[in-house]
Amino acid sequence: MATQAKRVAAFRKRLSRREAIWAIDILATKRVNLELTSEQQEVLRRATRHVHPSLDLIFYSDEIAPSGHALACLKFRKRGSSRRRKARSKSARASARAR
Amino acid sequence: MRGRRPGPAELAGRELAADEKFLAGASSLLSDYLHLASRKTVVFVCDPRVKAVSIALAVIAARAGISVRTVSASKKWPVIREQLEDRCDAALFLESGQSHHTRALRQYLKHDEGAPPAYRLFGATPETIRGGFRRKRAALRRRNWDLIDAARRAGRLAVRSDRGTRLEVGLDPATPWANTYGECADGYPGVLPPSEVNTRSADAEGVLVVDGAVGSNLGWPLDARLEGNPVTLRISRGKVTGVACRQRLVRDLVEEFLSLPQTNEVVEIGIGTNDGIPGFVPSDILLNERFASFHLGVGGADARNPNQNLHLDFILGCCKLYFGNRLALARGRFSRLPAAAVPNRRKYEVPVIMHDAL
Repeated sequence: MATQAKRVAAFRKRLSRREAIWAIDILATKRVNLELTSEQQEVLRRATRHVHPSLDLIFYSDEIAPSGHALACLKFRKRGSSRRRKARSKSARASARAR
Repeated sequence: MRGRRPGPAELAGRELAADEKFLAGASSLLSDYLHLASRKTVVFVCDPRVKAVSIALAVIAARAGISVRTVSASKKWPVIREQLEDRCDAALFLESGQSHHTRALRQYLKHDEGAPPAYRLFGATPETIRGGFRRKRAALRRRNWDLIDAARRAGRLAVRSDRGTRLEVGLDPATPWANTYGECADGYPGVLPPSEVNTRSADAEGVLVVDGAVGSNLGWPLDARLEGNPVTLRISRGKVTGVACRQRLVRDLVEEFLSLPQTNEVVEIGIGTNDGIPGFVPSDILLNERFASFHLGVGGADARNPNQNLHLDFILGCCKLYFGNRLALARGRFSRLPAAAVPNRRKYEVPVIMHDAL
């Protein structure tokens, strides 16, 4: 019992100091950011109807499964904020109408 | 050496090396997981508290023609690094209650191209060797990917048990999964014993009756097994909102943990996938988390300050796990999961050069 009391006291001490005694370091994910050329952006624009200057590949697997399992998810970063883009496109439309 | 009496660790080690189940586990660890064969060299970096296990492994390795050098984990990093830079086909850190040289090893593996494959065996007890390596690495790896694939496609996970567990978890498709089966890659050591998959979700709701074991990176001070004293957790919006347990000390310790800032969040939705592990052990070691069952980790997950992240795992004993409506695991046995259907894709014309560049 004395040993258990000591162990509990030591646990409480570590808890109050936030003192972890072991850590597992595992690869949970990898991110690769790719800047796209204008031609590549055009390919994506045709697929998604949005312009993506770069994209993040977020991997959840470290192996390529030939059976067609998804290897990564894609995160697109749009150019500027949507509000600014919208404003710009409105003004562009207005200037086009004026012409 | 004539005249020298073997110490207690040496005697215990030699006895372990003759134990049939230990021998089977050790052989699998050395050959299947560490990829060692005759004429290869392994360096054991050993916590003094698991010296007997290290000696037993060295005896078994030597019988298989594998050279072994052992260095104490309590030595300074340059001493250990020197051993790894000498002839070494694999490095195995045999850990007891704490992990040694975590940051230094990561840096070394990341930046030194000649670094050998490194593995960290948490809770290197005889039970871990006997029970943790009864399944082939390749089979566990395949199972893990199948589970991740099925879970991602279902988008939801549910846990049920006869003792009253009713937990619903929504899975965000953008949140990554970790598959840990003991392989080292990209500057990370292989984590042993195998194996589990896990992810995160703030969308967890329900009741968890934890009747397997408890684990913590603080070192749980009591018998880790909970079969006789299950802990009931109420989970609401990804946070633990209530704890109940017949054993008052267990309840108090869990509540003390959860009362600290940033410790009551659900930070891990985990599935132990090693169905070769026969049962839970009293000490708080990683083997319990690898048992074929569901576990829920709570604590902090501040990536900027990982040393301050406290973690408490609640591992279920007997439960059923569903991905959507499909049963994935029942009472320690995994169902056969169907292969992914190939989705219909709309075809876009992409010039070959551009396609290659992408």
